Amino acid sequence: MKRMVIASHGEFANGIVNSLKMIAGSSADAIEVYTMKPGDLADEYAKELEKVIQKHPNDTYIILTDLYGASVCNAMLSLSIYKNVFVVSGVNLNLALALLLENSQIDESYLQSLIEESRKGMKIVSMQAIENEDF
Amino acid sequence: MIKLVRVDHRLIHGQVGFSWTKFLEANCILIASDEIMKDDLKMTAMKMAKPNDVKLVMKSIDDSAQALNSGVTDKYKLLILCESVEDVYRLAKKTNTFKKINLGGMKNREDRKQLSKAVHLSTEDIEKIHDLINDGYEINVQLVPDDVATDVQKILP
Repeated sequence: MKRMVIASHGEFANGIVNSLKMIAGSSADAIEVYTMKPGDLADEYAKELEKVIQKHPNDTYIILTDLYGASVCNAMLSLSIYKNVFVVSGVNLNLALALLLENSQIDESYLQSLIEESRKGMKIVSMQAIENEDF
Repeated sequence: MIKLVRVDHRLIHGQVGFSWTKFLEANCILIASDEIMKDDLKMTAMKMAKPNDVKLVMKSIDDSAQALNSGVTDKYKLLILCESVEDVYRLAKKTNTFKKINLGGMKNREDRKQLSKAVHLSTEDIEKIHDLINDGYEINVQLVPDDVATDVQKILP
């Protein structure tokens, strides 16, 4: 089973889940959220999460974090030693949504392809010439 | 094969572009609308909103019915979008290629009453829905695939 975790500095992770619920519905309720508050230690959360991961060795954990190299991401780094855990930085709504809607098994190369696809969502938006397709 | 016919005033947006196309495994979206064919800005927005691996075709309601009736759409897993009950009614009267209609979102207007979270219908809309039901159409209300589909007759006044 796929388990998604979104972890952020402050409320960002809750905001992503809120947006996911609007777009994809109640399936987003299953996402685990960690929002680090000032003074919190993300390592403590990572230790709690590690216990859960150890109890579910057959589940695939995808931990989406906000800033690469920042404390939330770094705390989760220690969990990447588990074969069934992927830690990703720079989460955006495209990636979180793509993962949420994905029903197939996620391995590293597939996750990489979803990340590449999600990056394309960040671009300068402008009027394009309209070429209306036909059947 | 027609996977879904949906009424949604926003046409393609997050719920449709991501959730519905993925759920239906649709590989083609047909927007049947006379209005959009006159609106370059909206056509551009629709092209931006569509998923990369899905073909998008926009046609007037007459041309949409003609395409559906001709069989050229048969090879696609097709999602059809209409902006309003009036539009889907006109389409349904010109083709016999589908028997189910999903009501997604109809925006609030002065002449419309709210019947569920996202469904606002005018007296004329309700008459048209009754007419379609008499013609054998199954019409349900469902925003996203995760929601439970409700038979429209349960919320009609």
